Amino acid sequence: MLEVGSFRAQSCGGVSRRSFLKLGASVPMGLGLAGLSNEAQAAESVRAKSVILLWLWGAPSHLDTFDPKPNAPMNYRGPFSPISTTQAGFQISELLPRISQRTDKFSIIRSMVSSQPGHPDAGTVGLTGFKERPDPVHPSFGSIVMKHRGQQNDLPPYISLGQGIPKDLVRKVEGYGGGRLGQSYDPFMVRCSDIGQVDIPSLKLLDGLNPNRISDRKTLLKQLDEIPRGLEQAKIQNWETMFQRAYGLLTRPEARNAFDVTFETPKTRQDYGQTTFGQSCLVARRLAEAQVPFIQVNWSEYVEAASPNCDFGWDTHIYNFELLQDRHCPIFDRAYSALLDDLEDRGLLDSTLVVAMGEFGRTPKISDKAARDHWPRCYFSLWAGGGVKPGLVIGKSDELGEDPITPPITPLMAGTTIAELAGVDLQARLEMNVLENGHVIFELV
Amino acid sequence: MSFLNWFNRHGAFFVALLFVGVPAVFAGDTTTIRLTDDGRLKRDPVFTDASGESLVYVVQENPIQLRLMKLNLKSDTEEPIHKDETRSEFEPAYSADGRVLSFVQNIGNLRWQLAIVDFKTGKRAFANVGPGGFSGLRSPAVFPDASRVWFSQANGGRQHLYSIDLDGKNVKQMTDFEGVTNWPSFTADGKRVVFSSSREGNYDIYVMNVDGTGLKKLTENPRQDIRPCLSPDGSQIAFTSSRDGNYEVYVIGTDGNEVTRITESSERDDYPAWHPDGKRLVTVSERKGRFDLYLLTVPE
Repeated sequence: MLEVGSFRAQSCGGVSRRSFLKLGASVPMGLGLAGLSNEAQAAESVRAKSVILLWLWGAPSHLDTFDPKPNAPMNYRGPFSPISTTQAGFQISELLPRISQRTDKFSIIRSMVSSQPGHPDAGTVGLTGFKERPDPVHPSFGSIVMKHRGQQNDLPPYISLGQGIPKDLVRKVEGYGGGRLGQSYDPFMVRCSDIGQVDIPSLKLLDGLNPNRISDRKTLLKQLDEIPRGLEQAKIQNWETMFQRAYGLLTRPEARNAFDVTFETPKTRQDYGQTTFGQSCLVARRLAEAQVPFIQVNWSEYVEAASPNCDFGWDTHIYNFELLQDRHCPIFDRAYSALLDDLEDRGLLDSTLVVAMGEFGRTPKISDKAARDHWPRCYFSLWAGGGVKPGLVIGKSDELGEDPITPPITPLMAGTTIAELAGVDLQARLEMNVLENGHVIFELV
Repeated sequence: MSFLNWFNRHGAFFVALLFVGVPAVFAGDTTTIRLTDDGRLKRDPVFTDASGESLVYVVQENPIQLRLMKLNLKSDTEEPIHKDETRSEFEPAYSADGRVLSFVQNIGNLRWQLAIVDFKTGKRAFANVGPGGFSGLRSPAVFPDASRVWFSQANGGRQHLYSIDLDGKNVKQMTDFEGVTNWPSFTADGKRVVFSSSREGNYDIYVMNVDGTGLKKLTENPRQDIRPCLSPDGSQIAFTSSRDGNYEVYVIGTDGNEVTRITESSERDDYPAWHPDGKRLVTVSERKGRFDLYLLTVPE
């Protein structure tokens, strides 16, 4: 354990590749960034042993999904009708028929408000609770949970599923990771295809290395010498962190099995749908089952192939209504429903917090392009499991869906609530100097 | 073999197992044939001509590309119709004689243009709304005499039907309703057009003469009635509706009477397109989370 601590200290300052190998070979179980003691101390107070954040990047239209306004004027309401749900008086869009039958399993907030109207800035606010400037950027919610909970087992404690870092044409979201806590607290990036094949980019650095021959130090040394070239191609700068996590996965079958959906029954895989988002949600459930503290599933470019080379997600500036009815809503309806059912069936829902939200909403008034643009003044988030009360409708928007008529709920409050449920209590937050002045959404807990 | 290679091969084997034994569930006495089995996201099937030998559909080939695929039913083979294309292409539409193809092509940041191909002359034309992002033309339908293409485009907060020459010029606005108007489909004689419109709130199906007169509402339902497709003889309209909970395929007479439900599943059935024989429909149906093409016989 002493060597682990020593490694951790060195890692931030830059350990050499060969010294890392020596350490890794001598203490194969000690590659974690953080110790286990935090977890042991905090276990009693942790209601959400795992958090799954479904990051609906691009910002879904609240009027066309979870906050319909059928009585609004034609240039607001859109073509979709509301449908009843399992909760009396609670209606959602007809595009979400499966979810409508599961509203007793989650609560919705309809009074979310962001301070930023653009994707990268609002993305940072949505994932950290704070604006990007002034530097340094605040840590993401996942990084905070990761730092507090530390490594639970052989798996990285903060895993991001998707097509890399959420970005738009201009730039990436700066608040996607560790921020001022450092790159050591960035998420471990994983990709998942529509048929559940998992791609771990950092493992590509080790391409050609046979897991069964990992004890062959000569081969490994040679491979390590090749890493800088691979790093350049992969644009991964913090190679020590990425490599040690990848090495841990490579050497321990039980760890990499957590990513392997082929261990699931065909029915379970089918329930989530043969889509990238669906299978990513299934991987997220497996990771929660394996006690990974924070898993983020990024809704990503794979649902909007109409715009290549850019991670637009739910950013439906044109043909909003067609895109939602053709692709986004059917995919989300199926995957989200399957995730809640699956977690509940396995007895994991009480200990797994599932939060779904984007960075803002979309214009209630239909745009000149007959679609919807950015709208930070009002949007929604969904909360299930992990200690939150289910079946609630929290907050209310006005008759046009333009502004909350109840006290607004901010991303900082959302992040504080996530952290609190994941065991990062007020004292811990103060000690970490994170989520300053954040309040828990008391209606939820 | 690297871990990644090992994992991918291992995963592919189990995925292959999922292909086995996927029964199709459809309504009543409908006879069905599954035409594809890869399960990937699909959309927009359409027969290429009156022979019924081949159809074109759209597949989500990879995370960032929709590709047009041609499926030959006679030889049971398929291939991309634009093998080297790197841009997304979707919503193919053919003239009845197969002479003209039109489809939507991505040309940038949320920017889609209409492509028109005249196989007889070999000419290709493109129509778009100029430079810049956030624009597009959708849902082409080739006029029966292959003289023009109708499509849907947003303008002034609403979405209308327009028509354009095969050379991509001479745009004419054909509808001027509130809300979104989309998915034009013509009678074989070219006299009438059916479409969906949210002009009264939600999507319903309408029919009118192509000169804009004689508008008649054919469906009256608080849920979506979308993607109407006229049968070759002009007597029936296949369409998708969520009236019974989720997306299912229905057929209605062009007089607005006798709605018949064609599919019945807890999963999605969508994108109906008539076989040239007028007795069958091809659909994209989701079964056990997988999307494939099915050919259904429409009950008499």
